[in-house]
Amino acid sequence: MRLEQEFQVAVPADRVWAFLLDVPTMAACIPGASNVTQTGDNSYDAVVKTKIGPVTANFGCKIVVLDLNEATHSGAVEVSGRDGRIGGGVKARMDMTMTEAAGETSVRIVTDVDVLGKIGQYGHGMIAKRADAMFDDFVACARARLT
Amino acid sequence: MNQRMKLTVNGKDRRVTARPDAYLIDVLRDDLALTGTKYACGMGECGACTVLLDGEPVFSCLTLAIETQGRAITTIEGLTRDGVQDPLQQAFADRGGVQCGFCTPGMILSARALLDEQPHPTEAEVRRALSGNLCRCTGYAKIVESVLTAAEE
Amino acid sequence: MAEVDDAFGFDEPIQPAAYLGPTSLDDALALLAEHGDEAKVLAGGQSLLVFLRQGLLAPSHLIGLRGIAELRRLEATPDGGLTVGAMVTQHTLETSPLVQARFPALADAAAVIASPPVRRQGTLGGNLCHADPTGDPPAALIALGADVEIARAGGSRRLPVEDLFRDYMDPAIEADELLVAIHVPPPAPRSGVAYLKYRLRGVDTALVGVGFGATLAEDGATCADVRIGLVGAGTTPLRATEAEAVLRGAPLTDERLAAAARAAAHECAPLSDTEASEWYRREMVEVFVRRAAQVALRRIDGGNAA
Repeated sequence: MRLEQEFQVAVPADRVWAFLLDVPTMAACIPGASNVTQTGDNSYDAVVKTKIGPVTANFGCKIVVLDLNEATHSGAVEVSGRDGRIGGGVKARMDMTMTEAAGETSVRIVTDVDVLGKIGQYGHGMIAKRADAMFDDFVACARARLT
Repeated sequence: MNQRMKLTVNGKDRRVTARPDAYLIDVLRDDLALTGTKYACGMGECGACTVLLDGEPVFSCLTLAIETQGRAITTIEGLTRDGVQDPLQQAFADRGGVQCGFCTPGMILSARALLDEQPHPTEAEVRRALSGNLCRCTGYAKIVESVLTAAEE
Repeated sequence: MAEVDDAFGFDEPIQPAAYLGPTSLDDALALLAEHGDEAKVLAGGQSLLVFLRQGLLAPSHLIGLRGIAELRRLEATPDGGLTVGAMVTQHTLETSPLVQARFPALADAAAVIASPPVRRQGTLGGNLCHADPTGDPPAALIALGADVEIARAGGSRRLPVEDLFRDYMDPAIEADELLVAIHVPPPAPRSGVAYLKYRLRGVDTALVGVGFGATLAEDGATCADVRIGLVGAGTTPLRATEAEAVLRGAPLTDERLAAAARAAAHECAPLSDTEASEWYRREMVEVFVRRAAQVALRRIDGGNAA
């Protein structure tokens, strides 16, 4: 499933770039994320807790940052998460691009996500809706930190 | 943490010790060796696990064994009495309603409940009563015919 | 891609849930007060036991309501309304002469849920608390103007059924609370209510479902009141208030009904999934609001709008 999301923030691209690459700070804006620890130059572990209906999933996530291009402010992140109790997981690749105009930065994120195991039965409509809601929360938090 | 339960299956009291949240299908098949009741989807979609509970068709994969205590459970094994088959069983054999056989126990128990409430159903009523039982061979015509044949007798 | 080790596997076996079988409402509420956070209430089990079997939930206790006789009452109230105990089964509702005669929209909704074996065990209270956005009874009950009664140890509250649905499968019921009854008001003079379901296969949940209830003014043509409930049209069952506003106080002409149907299709927020796209669901909301309105209006005694 592909999710395409975009947000604008009224600060220069350099600042947005620095914020997004500071994974522990950035991750504090991800709803339900905790225990972010750096495990390598470009890799992190984190736990992301999310609740859909009566079901609460705790994804143990591995995050790898790759393909960074500072000049064009573009990059990609791979996330793989698994909940061993309920038996299911997600794999995602997020590609990010930024454009700056008149002091405002527009960030576009395209995510290809595979939902694995039993969590998949919710259907991609519900999962996309939840991802959009989490993204909105993330953007509100990121704006507050940046401006 | 296991719990003792007394179930009344096909007219006999049976004692089992099982998890308090054990499903009826698992107790029937694994503890009581009544494997005529089939397990397939485990989520109430297919009807293979249909049994009768106080005469009503229910999915044994969506029923806790502990909640069936004190109620009469009928499985496909309970329809044959003293070696004599239920007219539905005979009709399924005679009219080609069995096919691969996997859905047959559930089909016959749903049909038994229908005929007990309504001895002479229309074809539409038969189809409605069997709407929770899927046949993977997709040979519904012979199944419906078998039920109507049994109803005539 | 980074690898996920065995995304389908389990880390640990799921601990058995203890079973508690209270025989009175007071006992059930006391157990909920004690165990509510970690327990799940087991009504007919036709949704919860799927989740449990798949290991999506691991409650410490199951509080089974089978033994509580007062939750099984189904009775007319003195003013002509209906009280449905939370544990009344869909089969009971679809076959009840009282419900068929006085509240046919509720009987119709119960009759199209899943399959006969599910309806034998599945209950109205359980259906509402599961809060599946594609369940059938919520749309019918919204159109009927029903309230739900929610109890906790030492008190109870009532709320309109449309306010029960907080989010996807997330009813507005706290951990120590129990939905005990559904109260349907008496049908108003010159009123009719219908529920229509659209689905692809006989035992499916609703692709779209519409409950439509209308009351005519004394002139027999003007819409005095209207209630429209939608399922399959968002992350929760919805009340289509914008569509209702198009009709309330207006003559119930075909043009008005068509405009209301368009408003309903506009105000809802369907999900896209493998069964149908958001666009298709909106189109079907529009079609089925019109059709449900026609059935509801035909059910009005003495009305000439249909």
